[in-house]
Amino acid sequence: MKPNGHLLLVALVAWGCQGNINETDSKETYSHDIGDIPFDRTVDDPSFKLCDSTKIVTRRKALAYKGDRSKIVSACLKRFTFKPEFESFNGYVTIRFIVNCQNQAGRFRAESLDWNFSHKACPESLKKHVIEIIQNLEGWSHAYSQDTHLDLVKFINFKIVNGRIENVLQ
Amino acid sequence: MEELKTYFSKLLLALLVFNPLLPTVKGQGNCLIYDENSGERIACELSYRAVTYKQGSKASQILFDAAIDIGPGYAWAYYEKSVPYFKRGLLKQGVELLNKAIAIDPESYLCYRAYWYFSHRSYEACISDLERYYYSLNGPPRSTPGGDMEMKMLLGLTYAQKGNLIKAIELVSTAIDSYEAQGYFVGPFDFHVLGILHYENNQLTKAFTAFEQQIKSNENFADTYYYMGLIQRAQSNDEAATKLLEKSLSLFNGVNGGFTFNSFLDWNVSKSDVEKKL
Repeated sequence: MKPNGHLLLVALVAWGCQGNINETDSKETYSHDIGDIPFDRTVDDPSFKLCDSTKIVTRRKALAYKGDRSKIVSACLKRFTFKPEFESFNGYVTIRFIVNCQNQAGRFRAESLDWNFSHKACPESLKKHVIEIIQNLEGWSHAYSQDTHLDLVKFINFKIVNGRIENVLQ
Repeated sequence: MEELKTYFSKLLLALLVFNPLLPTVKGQGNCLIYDENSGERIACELSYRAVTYKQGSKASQILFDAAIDIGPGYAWAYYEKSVPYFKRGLLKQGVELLNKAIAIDPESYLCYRAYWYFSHRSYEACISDLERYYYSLNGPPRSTPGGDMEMKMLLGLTYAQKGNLIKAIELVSTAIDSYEAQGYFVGPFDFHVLGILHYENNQLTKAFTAFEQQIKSNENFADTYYYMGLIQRAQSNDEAATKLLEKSLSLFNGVNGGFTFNSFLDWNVSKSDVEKKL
């Protein structure tokens, strides 16, 4: 009979580990935070560095953008170029990424979804295009707390109707 | 397997009760409605333990997973585990968890899914959930997760977004009139929503009246003055329009006690929107 892995982990948590558990505790992988985007050498730029990967912020309001957040929307809309191959797609392209403590964006992850948030295939070129749009945004002002410069995980959700951006949601 | 679960259940309960290093479990009273040593009871205890840790953290996720393992019929664990996924843009994972909570207890969790559909402008999905909640399940008034509005305000805005303004106005005005009798209250943005709907339906006098009503209870909300300014301008009252737009502008960026709020779909107002009209 095989012990339940979650329960063994719970025991470790409950004995006072207070969340500082070694990731090798379990065959199942638990990151520090469910929003973490670990480095993937197959897709990520190795020159994109974080200040402290153990203290990545997830609070949306901790990140600012020059002007205000509506500037992100207008910049994304302005830089989007429609291609006929996008037209058949209706749904979301969600891009998750990190804005590091040097105001650079990296570690992009894309997911395409239908209106019920289930997976839906979309043209790879569309995902690539919206990632490029975000990569070229300039104006991030990184997260900052108590004299510490911080990295932050952000997402931008593109609502796509007939292959065109209808809304940029943050 | 059952013996093993029972053993771990007892072990966990002992840990929960006797470990002095741990923070106090809040809300344990809720868990007492479940039979002692039942899967739901343990799942409930573990879930309340989980929420003492940072949302989305490793410790909280481990505890929620354990709760779900031992009490798969306990809906709150799925719901509470889903929250940080939505907040971090992991919408697919979030909705997969939330769907399980809804399958067990739709009345408690449908509105939360509707809220996220609304936030991401998935209009049909939002309408489907809220119509099921109000008209099939006959659910009582339910506020948004932030407590800013009752869900019928969101349903009205969603109807309007789909072009059904008459239905939206009927829903929202009836809801505002009926809240008190239902033991609820008129919320801090309800008349603003009604004003927006009348404005969009080109009922400018009714819209202005609703916005005036809004200001009586919420005088620092920048967006309302913006729409009042647009109405004055449409009625060729340029001086009054300018004053109202200037008032709106003065309330952005948290100055003068003012604020804005983005939960009105296409009728959200940004500082640059106001500046363009001045």
